[in-house]
Amino acid sequence: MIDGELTQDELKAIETHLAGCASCAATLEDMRKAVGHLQALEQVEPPPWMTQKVMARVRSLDTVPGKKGFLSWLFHPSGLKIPLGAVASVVLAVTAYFIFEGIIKDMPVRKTVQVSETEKQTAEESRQIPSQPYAPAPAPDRMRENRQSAEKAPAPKTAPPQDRPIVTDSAKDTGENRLWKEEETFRAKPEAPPASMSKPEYRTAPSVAPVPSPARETEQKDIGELRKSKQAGASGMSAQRQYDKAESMPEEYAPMKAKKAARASAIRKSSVFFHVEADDPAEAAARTITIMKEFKGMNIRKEIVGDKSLVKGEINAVSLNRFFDRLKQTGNVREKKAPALFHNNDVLITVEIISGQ
Amino acid sequence: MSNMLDNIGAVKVDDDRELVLLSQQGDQYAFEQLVIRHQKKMVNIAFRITGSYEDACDVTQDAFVSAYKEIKRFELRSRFSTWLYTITVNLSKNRLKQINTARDRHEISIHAEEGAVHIDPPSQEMSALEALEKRDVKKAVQDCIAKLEEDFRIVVVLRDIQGFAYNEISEMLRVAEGTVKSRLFRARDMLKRCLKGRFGEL
Repeated sequence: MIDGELTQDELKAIETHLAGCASCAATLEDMRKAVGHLQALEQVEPPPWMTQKVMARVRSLDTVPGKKGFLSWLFHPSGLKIPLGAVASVVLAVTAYFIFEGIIKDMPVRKTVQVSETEKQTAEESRQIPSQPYAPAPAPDRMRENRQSAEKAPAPKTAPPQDRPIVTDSAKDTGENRLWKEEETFRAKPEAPPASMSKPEYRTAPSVAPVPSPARETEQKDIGELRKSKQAGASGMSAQRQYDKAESMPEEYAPMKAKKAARASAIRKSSVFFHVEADDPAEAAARTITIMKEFKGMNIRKEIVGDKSLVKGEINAVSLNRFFDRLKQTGNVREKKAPALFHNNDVLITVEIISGQ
Repeated sequence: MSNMLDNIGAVKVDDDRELVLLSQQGDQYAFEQLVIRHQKKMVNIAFRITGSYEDACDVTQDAFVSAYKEIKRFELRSRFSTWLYTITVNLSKNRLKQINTARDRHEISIHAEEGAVHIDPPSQEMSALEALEKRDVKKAVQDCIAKLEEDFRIVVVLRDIQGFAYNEISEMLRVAEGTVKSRLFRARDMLKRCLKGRFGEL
């Protein structure tokens, strides 16, 4: 009846029945209303970038020459292209350089320094990682290359012997010694649309790559700009390779990417819920945010749902107990749900704050 | 209801025919027109099935890409849109399973804001109270839909929200029309009970 699909006879029969049966009539009426509510739901609008993104993926399907399937998946998992040609030629150039150095400057090596991530970069990378977790083939090789070559070819490239700095200055060591964390850094983000990524950008770390012990130099490859060579005299500079995705991505993609990463990470990461009753929920929320910041929380955000405040953030699992202790200072806390084990280091914390009154 | 009018008289006249033929010959511009034409419907189908706008956008993209890859194999015997929406429904189902599995595994509790995105209608000449009530009802409806099991949810979404005809739904889900109808009846019944439970009366 609701759908208007009955024949005349069927309709008549039912109407006759309904005339005499109040409960059936009521049921039908309720059903109509329920369907009415459904039909009244508004349609959502697709996001403005939908067409562009679809077509970008579609185009990349066609332009990967003949290598559909596995290889295509390997290098273009989201269908977007990485300029592998550019990457490959840079790798070759770097390798060639190191070999050259090794042959020319035959010196005993001290393997010193690599480049480390700043916290911010780590945060940025790890936030972007989950959606496309793979490392392109060239990158790890390149890093190993870098280390090995650093072992073989230590001398600064620009220094004539007398200019070689002897790094004893401990002031230069602090904060400027960087460690290259292989497993953390290099996962390329193949999500930037092809147009915006013409070549990978190499950022040179503004530091010397000094050595803790005196009378030794480190040599690091400087790819890209030679910044601050005056800082270290003529010593080599540490180079930090990194795809600067955030800059190359058009603005409209960034929030979606962040959301997608957050979303993916929400699914993948372990989650913990805390339920807080506080006399002043707003204040408790503010304090919760402060606490999360203390614990170097990432992706901290506050949402309001009805009469509840939700503070969310991601912190390292090892800090969880201390976080919980600190949180207790804000109000009456209950741990709502916690997974049995933490699959990875970061945990998504959701703190639900309601009024205790 | 505007969403029902789109499918009145589901005759097998395919407005997309020309564009599909061109796309099959590799004309990406033609395919782009199809993308523009159908994305809204697909996002809505995916949204109501998965309960998540973000997942709906992902699913829609995937569906288009999948359709593009397979378009040469599409025979114009049935409507292109039906075929496209079938892909969407299937991918939505898969995504829903993933969401639920992830949810169960990590014991993420189902927060209201994850499933029910508040889409407020433009409140023209509505009092604040009316607007609030209306929003509550919509939220309740969304919540109740989310409680339905997959198969029931899908028929309700396709029929009562998206307005597809029984024969189209039957084609999309590859079940008999009778099955569609009986599922729909049960789904509506469950929804009715759920809504009644929330509001006391409808």
